[in-house]
Amino acid sequence: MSDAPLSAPSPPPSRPDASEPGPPGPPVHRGLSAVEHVVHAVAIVGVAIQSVTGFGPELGLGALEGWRLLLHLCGAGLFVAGFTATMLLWLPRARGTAPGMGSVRRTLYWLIMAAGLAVMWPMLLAMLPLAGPDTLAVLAEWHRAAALTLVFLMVPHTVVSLAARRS
Amino acid sequence: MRRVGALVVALGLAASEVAADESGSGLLETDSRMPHVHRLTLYDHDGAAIDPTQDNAPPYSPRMTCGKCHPYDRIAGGWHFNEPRPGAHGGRPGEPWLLIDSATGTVLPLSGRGWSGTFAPETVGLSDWQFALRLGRHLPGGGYGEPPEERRRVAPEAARWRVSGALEIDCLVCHAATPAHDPAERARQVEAQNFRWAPTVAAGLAVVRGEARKAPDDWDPDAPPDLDRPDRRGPRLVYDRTKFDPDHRVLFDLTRRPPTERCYFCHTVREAGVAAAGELLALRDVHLAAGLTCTDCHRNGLDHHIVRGYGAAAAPERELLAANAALSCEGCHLGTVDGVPLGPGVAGTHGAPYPQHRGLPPVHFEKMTCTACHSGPWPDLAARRFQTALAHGLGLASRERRDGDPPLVVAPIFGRNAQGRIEPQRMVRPAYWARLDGDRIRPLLPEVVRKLAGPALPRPAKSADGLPPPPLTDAQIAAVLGALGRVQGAAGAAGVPVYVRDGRLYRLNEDGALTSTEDHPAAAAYFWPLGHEVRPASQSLGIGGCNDCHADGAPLFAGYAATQPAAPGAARMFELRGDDPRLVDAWAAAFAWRPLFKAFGFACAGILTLALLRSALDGLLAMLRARVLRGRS
Repeated sequence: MSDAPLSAPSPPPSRPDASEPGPPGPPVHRGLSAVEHVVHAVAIVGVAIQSVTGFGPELGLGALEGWRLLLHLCGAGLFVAGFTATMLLWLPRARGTAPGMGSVRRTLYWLIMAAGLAVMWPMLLAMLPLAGPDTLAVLAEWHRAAALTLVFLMVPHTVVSLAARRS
Repeated sequence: MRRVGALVVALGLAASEVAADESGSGLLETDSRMPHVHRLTLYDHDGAAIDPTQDNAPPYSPRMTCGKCHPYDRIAGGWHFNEPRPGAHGGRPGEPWLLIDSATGTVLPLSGRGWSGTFAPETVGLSDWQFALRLGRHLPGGGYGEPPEERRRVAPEAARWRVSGALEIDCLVCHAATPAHDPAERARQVEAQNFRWAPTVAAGLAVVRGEARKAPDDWDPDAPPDLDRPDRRGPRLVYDRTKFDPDHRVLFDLTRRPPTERCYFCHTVREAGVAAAGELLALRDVHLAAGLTCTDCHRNGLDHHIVRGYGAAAAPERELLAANAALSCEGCHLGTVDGVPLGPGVAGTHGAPYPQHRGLPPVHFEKMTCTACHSGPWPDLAARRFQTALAHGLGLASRERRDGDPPLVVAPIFGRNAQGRIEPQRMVRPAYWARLDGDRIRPLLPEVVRKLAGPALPRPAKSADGLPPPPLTDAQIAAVLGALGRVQGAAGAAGVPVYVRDGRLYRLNEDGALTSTEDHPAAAAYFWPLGHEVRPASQSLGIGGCNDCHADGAPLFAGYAATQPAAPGAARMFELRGDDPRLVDAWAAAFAWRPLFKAFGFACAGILTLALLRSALDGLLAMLRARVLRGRS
């Protein structure tokens, strides 16, 4: 979710005109506060844990069971907290109510949010006594596919963010 | 002349048997679902028709009578009879025969099926004759009770086999449609060594006078009674002639679908001990309550290979048949074709409901059997004591039976089966004297121990309240081991004398002091799956939520495999399964936070969803607004 330079000093952000909530001008970068750093870190760790444990079989790390499954469940807390906080942190910019995000990054933001929600909802619903095993298996497949999509979206997101940082 | 006639009949029967073994030929069949009325002439063991009005009329032979139309030898290869046959597939471990001797502290699991943790009778020196005498009370005949003729002829007890005859398969043990056939009476006849007479007497066709065990070795059952030597009389039958029609035929009230009560003679399991709820409140299998019988699921063909109900994936050989897959939990409740579930639309053999299992992650079906949640009593922190027909002689009237009688069979134990899935099991800890030679252990029969140990073994004495004698003390064990060692040394027998009990292997060290080892393979407990009583969904593990199992102290993980936590060798379920205790604790702790996580997760997902929807709506409105403005301009 790191969508901004993490260490390099940035020029002061321009103040948008409150009467013009439309698309702001060129992206404006600013430094992240300590809290924002923590939020991003939690999200990154959460995504990393979930990716490594969840795609363990494909990565040659063995089936998702035992300690790995427990780690996946515990990592879910980190992921949900970090992802939600990061999304909310960047929400004003993505909505265009604050500067700092170009159209590509904004598009990626919404795609990432949709993918993240598609990751979260199936498993949240699976925790309710609503669906039988067949439906649960389908939900797990959705969870998995959404997670894969999310991980893939992270690649262009990282590239674009790094490019924005250099510019 | 009679002999010649018998020979002719026997040859005819043999020929018809050969023909009957070939499907579709030689077998009298009605091909109707209406049961055939069995109004039969009875034949004796030589194949001669029985005239019940004659003095000294012989007993009827199931082999000769039932075998006239049914392929006896093929049936004898079926599950209930094929245990001693080399090459007979043992399948999933089941309840073993248990050789019990309180005086020597012996609880020895026996089986000819090669189940790990059991001993084949012949390897411990138990002959077919001894097996039939000790355990034939619950043997339906055949198997160890009817070894091949050549084997009987060369057996050490060949003379006794000649006197008693073979314990043939008694078809009525299962197929009697009425209670007229008395398996307990049959057991009494087995005890009296009246093997040949047992089916006739159990069927209530005759009463028997005399016991084969009192007849001398050279007594000839075919010879007429010697009036000059009444002491040499063997068993003699007095037929109930009212059971015969004028043509000396008998109506056998038989069924192809044996009532559950017939199965219960050998397969009763009752809870005993302080936790037992009593007969009035005892758990009843939901399938029986719904009106099914045992044989609705545990079916068999003419070969009498009973479907054991654990599915095709678990067993090779015949059980790979689709019929077997269909007659399992999954087969009935999910509906299967070649083991593939069909789904709710077509499931439900016998009206079995399609299981909902709402909210239960599918991983549970990979890691656990259906019975783990649905069978046996609701698990407590301690396991419960059970008595079984085979182990405790249930079905035989007794005033001596007590809840504390050995062996100690406990359940439910949540162990792993051969496929690594968690399943409820029954457990018995073996106890026996043996010779240990390297890795090879050879148990000693109780009578051998008594003979070799002599006075070192305490005198068997029942307490006033009928309780079995207390377990042997360390000093007594040491004394017996010492005695066995001395005798053994003199005889030059190989191996060190040892005693196995409570999961420990006792032996004397070089100084003659008693030592014990834990975790010796020879001392390992024996487990077999617990399939019944099946509880309905509303009484299954998980009905109370994840915390039925995923909580600190949940019986599935933290329960004790003993009736008391402080019992010798009491291990916890996770220890028995070899689970990582830190992982067990971590799981339990994680689930304590689960409700909070669910609330947090829903809140987060809800907020983000609202944000996404709001933004999408805003975007949509902006587009509409722009379009409207463009239209105006």
